[in-house]
Amino acid sequence: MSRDLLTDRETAKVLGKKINTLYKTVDFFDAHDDDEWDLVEGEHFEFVNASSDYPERRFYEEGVMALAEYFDRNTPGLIKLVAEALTHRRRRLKQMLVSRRITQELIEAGSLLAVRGELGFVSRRTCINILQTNGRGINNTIERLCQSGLLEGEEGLEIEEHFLLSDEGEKIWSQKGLASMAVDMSHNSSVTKSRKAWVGAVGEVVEDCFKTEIKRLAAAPQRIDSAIARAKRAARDTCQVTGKKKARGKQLTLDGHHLFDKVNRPDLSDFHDNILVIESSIHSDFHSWKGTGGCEPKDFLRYSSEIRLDLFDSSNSNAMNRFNRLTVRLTQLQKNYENNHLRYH
Amino acid sequence: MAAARTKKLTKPEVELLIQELLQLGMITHDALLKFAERVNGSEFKHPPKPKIQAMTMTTAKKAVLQKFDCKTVAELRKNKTFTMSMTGEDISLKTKDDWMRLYRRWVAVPESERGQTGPTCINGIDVLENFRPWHVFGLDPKTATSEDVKASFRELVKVHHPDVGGDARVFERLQKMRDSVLALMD
Repeated sequence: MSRDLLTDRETAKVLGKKINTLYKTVDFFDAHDDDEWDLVEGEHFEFVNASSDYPERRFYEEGVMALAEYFDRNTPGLIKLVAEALTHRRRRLKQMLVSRRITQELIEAGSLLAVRGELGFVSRRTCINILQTNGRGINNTIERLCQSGLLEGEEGLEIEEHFLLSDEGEKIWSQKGLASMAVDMSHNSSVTKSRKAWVGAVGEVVEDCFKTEIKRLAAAPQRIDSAIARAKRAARDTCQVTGKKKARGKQLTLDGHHLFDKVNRPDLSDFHDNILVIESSIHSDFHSWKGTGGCEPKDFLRYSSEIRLDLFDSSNSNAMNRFNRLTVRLTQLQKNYENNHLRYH
Repeated sequence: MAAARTKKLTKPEVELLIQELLQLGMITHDALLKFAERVNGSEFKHPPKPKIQAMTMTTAKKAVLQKFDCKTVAELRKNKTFTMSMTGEDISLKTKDDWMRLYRRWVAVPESERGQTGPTCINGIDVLENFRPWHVFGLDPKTATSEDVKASFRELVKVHHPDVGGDARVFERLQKMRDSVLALMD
């Protein structure tokens, strides 16, 4: 998996700073090369659009940690006074990092595999990643848990509560199942203190992540519909490809097209920038060209610039401006969110 | 069983019984017991089993806290692994029932609740309160096969199916236990 980048807003949030303060600090780092504070492109951060006047940055976790150290060291008087607050902040930071990993894990695994009331079920692979163990570790735990249900020890694992069988016949696990695994691991496996701490930290956030995910899944259809309606209003009921406008006496139906498809990228399903307002005929034509499977902005870019260039009249400056705007938009969206880079709400 | 003797035997009556005993020739354990019972006027009762004391709330609480590596109830409330395990359930952690429920789930079937009898009990435990399939089916999880589970289930169903007068809730739990165990064995 590629190294993960945090957006500037997310970085500021993790550090508990305002975004302006963050950029002022980064500028200060860049301005003084003779001090110990230095952020290296590629190691600590990347530019999103280096050629613009105010290029945005994305930070690697190393960069976030370097900034965190700077902020800590530059408030020596405060450290003692706010030691408790710092501990809380560190805890929050750690929890956020763990939370990100779990959310990412849920999305990479294609979200929750099943939902029963408040219980969400995930695959064995996701359990391994959430509990930061390996195949062997989880097998041992599951084997021990499968044998529970005698007079002594934990009760037996219950189908529909702790686990389910997926359509493929694989066992998938709920929060209850994960909790049983975590308790078993902390008592039976030879875990080190740091692993124990990790399992503890995971327990602290995994429940919230599941809850959020279940809530999001439950509200998805309605949320997506209203996002599409909003996108159409924002586009003034105009096709963002052909520029045709909905009007009285004009037969024109508009669709909201998900540039990153909503099955593979549920995190972007109600994201304004991810919804392109286009004529229904173009929408269905694109999907029949693309075929089954997911789609990304780069697919629509290829479709509009190679397959259906006829949609843009090269002799019309308005059409060409629209084409250029669309190209920029699709390229940026692709760059910002490809490889499962998460969108944060 | 005959009622215990209300009137004491006289000496000649007892001597008559002794004569009858001696006429048997060889005095066996059974003959002596029979003689004693005739003097007593009825069979002897078995002494009642000593009662196992019911588990206290403190013991249950202590064991559950230990399971989650917590020292206090407040700590347990904050423990997210515990919260996660209780997803979709409400528990106040204030009553003895709450702690007994957790004890049954995480630690064991309390000694005082073993060897019970009743329409909802199988192999001495109440199946509506305990989800312990291996004990209920009377099988060893290390050696049992799926065929063993199915056979054991069939035997239990002969008694607990609603069609033969069994409790529908018990039958449902048994089905759940069979399905869970079989799914885990795959």
